[in-house]
Amino acid sequence: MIDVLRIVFLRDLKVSLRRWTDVLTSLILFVLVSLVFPLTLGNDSTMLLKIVGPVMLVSALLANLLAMQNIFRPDVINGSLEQLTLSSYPLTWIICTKIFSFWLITSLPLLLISGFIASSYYVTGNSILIVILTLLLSTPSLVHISALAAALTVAIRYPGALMALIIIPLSLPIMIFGSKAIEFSISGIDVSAPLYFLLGMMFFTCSLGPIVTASAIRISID
Amino acid sequence: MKQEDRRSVTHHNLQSNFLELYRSDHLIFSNISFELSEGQHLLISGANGTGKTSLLRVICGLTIPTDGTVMWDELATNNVDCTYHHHLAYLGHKNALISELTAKENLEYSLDRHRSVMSTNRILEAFDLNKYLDQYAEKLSNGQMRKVALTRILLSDKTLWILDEPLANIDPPGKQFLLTEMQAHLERGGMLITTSNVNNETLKSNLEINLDNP
Repeated sequence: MIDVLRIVFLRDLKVSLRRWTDVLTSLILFVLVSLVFPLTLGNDSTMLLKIVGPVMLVSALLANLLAMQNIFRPDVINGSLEQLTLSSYPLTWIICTKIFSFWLITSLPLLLISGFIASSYYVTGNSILIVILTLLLSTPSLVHISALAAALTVAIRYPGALMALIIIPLSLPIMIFGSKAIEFSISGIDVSAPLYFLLGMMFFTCSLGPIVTASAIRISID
Repeated sequence: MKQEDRRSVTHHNLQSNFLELYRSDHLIFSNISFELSEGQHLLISGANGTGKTSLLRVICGLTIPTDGTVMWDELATNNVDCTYHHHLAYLGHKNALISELTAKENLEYSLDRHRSVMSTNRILEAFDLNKYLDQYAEKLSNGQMRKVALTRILLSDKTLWILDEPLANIDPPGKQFLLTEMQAHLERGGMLITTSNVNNETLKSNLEINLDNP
């Protein structure tokens, strides 16, 4: 069982690295969207500090939306997802592993770069760490929600818009509490409440997400 | 090894009762019943568009039939206790090869690998694949991709092979080798379900379902 998950994990990691243009595209989208505001607003630091939270989370959501379109699609086209559902190992765990390797490839670089982007919004000191921490807690939830949307729309030819319609309402709580965490930290208020909520959401989506995604896949490849 | 032991102790059988499939109010097939035991070959024949592939997908559990059941060792295949998927190797029209991986990596990253290096080499030799192992799957020809996918089935050590047109796109020596391998699989006590183009002197079928006249 662990062996099989290791195989799936290594295979997905290798495949994602060979499709590096896809990974890079979503990362560049994140950087571009989040840099538009400091460039257009100039040096209005109070305004920038006000919008940094929502902007960071929305850009992460958009980058995620772009990257996640390809989590299951190539495997459905070449038939290997079919083989995974027929294997004697639980599909839920296999999907969970796939999502985790996808998170590593698409969201981890985004976390690393987010500190630098935050500094262009005049965010300083501890707040930069809070920005990174907020993204660390919210991207797993976003990835699981997007994986569900990707699984539901995998049989559709151009799923982009439909995926956005599914993902954006479902990820609103993460957007709201994520921006609050960043806003609180900038204005010096205790940030633990929104971070606890994000952590709770992360456990919720990580535990139930793969189960729902696995059954969505079974339906989609019928 | 464990699998070999289990196989010799218990006798597996696959049974289907009155399978029926509708696709948006259009009847694909109905009243399909058969019983397949070890060492038997079921051939599904019929013209194009008569539902051969759909029937295979129903049998292996990818498509849920409108009516009827598929039973493995007297248990319905959607039963939690059913060990059907431990014994099933399926190859459909899609070869399940990831184009970003080489032929070799595609074989290495398959989930069930039981056979030894020896038999791997023997199969690769017979399929004339050794030269192409380091090529990306997307660069291979259709026949070569099919051969890699079939190698995976031949190496899988499963009891029931469900193959959708296994001989399509394969050159004569490859065909000959595949037919002898399928024959050997049946003699080992394996089961085989194939569609129409596997019907010739080398491999006789024990059962046949013709979908032409519903």
